[in-house]
Amino acid sequence: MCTPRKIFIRAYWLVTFALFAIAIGAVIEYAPDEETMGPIQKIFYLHLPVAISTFLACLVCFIASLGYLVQRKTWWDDLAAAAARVAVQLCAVVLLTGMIWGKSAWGQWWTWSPRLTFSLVLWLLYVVYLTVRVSVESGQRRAVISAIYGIIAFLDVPLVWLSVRLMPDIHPESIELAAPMKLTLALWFVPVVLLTAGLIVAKFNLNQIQRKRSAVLEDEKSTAATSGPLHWAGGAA
Amino acid sequence: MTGTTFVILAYVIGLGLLLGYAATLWTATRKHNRGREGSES
Repeated sequence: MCTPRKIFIRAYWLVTFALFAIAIGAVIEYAPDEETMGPIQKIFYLHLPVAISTFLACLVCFIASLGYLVQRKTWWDDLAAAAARVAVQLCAVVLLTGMIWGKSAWGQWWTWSPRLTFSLVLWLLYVVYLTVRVSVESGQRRAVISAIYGIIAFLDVPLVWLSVRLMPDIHPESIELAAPMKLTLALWFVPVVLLTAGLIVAKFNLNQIQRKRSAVLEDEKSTAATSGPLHWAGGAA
Repeated sequence: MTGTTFVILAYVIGLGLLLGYAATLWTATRKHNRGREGSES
């Protein structure tokens, strides 16, 4: 049966995908080629919104980590884990699209410039965050360690943001855009931010389902452990 | 490779990773919900 919640979720994803289709159409048909870089500049319409969305996902992880340490409610932990997982995915896209741009614009896939290095460090920090979550068994201990780590990992975000302004870098600080380019960029921000929010919420819901399921399994295990010997003793008597 | 090939490559990889992850989450949630509905009935 279709509940209002299900209808809303379907409409949300439909609108997001439709906006992606419109944004792709704008890149192909509407946005002109940049004078010096040529068609390669069109990577920018995907690269920049995904980079900003990475920062947003890291910010959500940071706020949720703080929330967990203050309130000790498990849903904050689930939200932080969801945001970190999405941040890893988004940051991977930023790095890969940046590398493709670099190969075409600078003639090399990778260079150890400050922004690229800090971006790689950001990706690694959140990969380690997810690894830490898997490696700590105790639920409460895992949540506390992850929350502290989530706050520390966020410190790299301002470094990525400011590196290109504070240090000499091959990465462009800003690009002059004509009006159709600005509009195309704005068009891309909408579906990418919607996708980011949708992914975080979907992963958060999945984390909650998994938490509830493992709690039920734990309950069943402890019930079996306590009733087992009694049942055996009763049987023997 | 030409500039356009690089652009296509970037969009295919980028959108593939993002939409592929969305599809993975959708499948996992559906699987869990089906399991839950099955155990409730």
